[in-house]
Amino acid sequence: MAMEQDTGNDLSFQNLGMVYEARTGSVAALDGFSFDVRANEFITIVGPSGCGKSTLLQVTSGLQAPTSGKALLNGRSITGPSPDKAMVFQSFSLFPWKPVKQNIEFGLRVSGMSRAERDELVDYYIGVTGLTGFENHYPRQLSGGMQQRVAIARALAMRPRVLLMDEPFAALDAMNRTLMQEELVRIWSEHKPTVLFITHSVEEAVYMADKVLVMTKRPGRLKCTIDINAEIGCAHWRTQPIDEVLLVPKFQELRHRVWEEVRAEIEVNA
Amino acid sequence: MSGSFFTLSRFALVFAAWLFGWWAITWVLNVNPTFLPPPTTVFERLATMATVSMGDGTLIVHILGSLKRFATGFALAVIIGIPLGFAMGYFKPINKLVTPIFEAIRPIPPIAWAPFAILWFGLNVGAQAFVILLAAMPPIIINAQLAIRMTDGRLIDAARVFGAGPLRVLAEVALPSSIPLVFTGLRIGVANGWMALIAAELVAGDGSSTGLGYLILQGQRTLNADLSIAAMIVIGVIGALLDVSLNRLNRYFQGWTAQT
Ligand SMILES: Nc1ncnc2c1ncn2[C@@H]1O[C@H](COP(=O)(O)OP(=O)(O)O)[C@@H](O)[C@H]1O
Ligand SMILES: [Mg+2]
Repeated sequence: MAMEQDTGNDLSFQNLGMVYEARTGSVAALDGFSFDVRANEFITIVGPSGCGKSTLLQVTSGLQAPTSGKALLNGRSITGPSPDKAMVFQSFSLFPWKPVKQNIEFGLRVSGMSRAERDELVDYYIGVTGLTGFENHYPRQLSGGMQQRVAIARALAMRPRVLLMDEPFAALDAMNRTLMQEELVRIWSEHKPTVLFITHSVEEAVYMADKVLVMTKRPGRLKCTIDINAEIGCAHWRTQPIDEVLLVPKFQELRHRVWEEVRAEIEVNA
Repeated sequence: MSGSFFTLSRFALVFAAWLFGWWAITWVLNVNPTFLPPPTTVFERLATMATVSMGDGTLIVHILGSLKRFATGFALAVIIGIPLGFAMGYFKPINKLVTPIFEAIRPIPPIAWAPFAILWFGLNVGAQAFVILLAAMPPIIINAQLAIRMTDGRLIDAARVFGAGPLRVLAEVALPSSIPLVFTGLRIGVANGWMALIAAELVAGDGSSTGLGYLILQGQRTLNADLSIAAMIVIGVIGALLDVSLNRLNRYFQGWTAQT
């Protein structure tokens, strides 16, 4: 708790840089990315393809160490994966040979939690994510939307302080995608972990976020931040259905603004 | 269903036509049966083999004798090959250490080891098992190694994010995902091993008078070509059965790992 007072921030990125050494030469994916995330904030990140968004999450999750700068969680340098950071992958990345329940409890089992405690948590999140009745199904027996629910349940079951989501709905069809967006907001609001959510959809970004971060083209830096909460000024629209929010003039204006920012970065490339 | 029925009946028909051709040649050209017996003689032989003793016993004794040698060599190939392949796939230093010697030995036909095998193990099951081991193990090692190397990096990342260390990644991600390729290796290994068994029985008999290879030799020595051919047919059928049962086992495992 004392740590939290250090910065008042949950996550802090300080001049983060990442250079990949590949056979074809070195690629600078991130260069001088700085941003502070407060606890319980829902952050969405947009930017051109290849600008280092996934790299940013890899560093935050502890899967990769940055080549320069620092990523801090709760004031401490991130040195590797830990149970307080959970990730939902674009490709779902479920273990095909494990049934739903075993997929969800994977992280809890690794952390050494007793079976009874695990069962309780897993059952709870199976209910929350609408997977009741599918506990013993294998991932391949589920639709894409259901598979992503499993991946979300697997992450939420860790009760992480930080929830990292890398284009989690990109592989879903439009209808499933809308449903999942609304449900994610509902599930998130129960415990409000800090969220970093990468997306290609400007609409999705503006609908869910407290703040939208726009990144520059590669090597990725923070281009600008749009504080959705401050812009709205009253209750956030993410508690309402998307099709209604789409009609709100302020929503349309912000969507346009974010899109213009992203487009400028894409067109510099062209 | 009807499709596979027609495929099957067409296959049977073509096969029958070839058999008829064989029979017609021996009949029209009046071929000496010690040179090439007609299929009818071979089938008669196949029927009597089951009850009439040759060498140390009836057909089943010879089949079991061959299977015992095969099982010994193949079991060793699996017990050594799979863990070695996994280790080579997962730990680079082990790979670097083993690969040169492995690549040096691999191009040598297993049967070329027969004289050495006899020297080291004597004329017994050990020499034959050794040749089978050498034949069956390389594909098992290569595929096990490849399976581990081809593990989906995204699944490894997922396991790591949720706290898995290297050994857990090996046990819970790399091993289960390796099953289909490991089976590919086993199937090639079975085919190689079974072929090597017959070669081993022909050139490195263990002193007993059993085995399908022994029956082939016996047919040659006693000028009973029908016996040799009958033994060859049994060898082919058992080889195919081994492959089919391994394939079944593979499907069972894939069902278990929900790859279907
Ligand atoms: N492991 C890696 N090795 C080499 N280059 C990589 C690696 N991962 C990503 N890159 C490169 O770094 C850049 C940023 O990648 P990424 O973070 O995946 O971008 P984004 O998620 O924004 O599309 C890309 O040009 C990509 O090709
Ligand atoms: Mg990406």
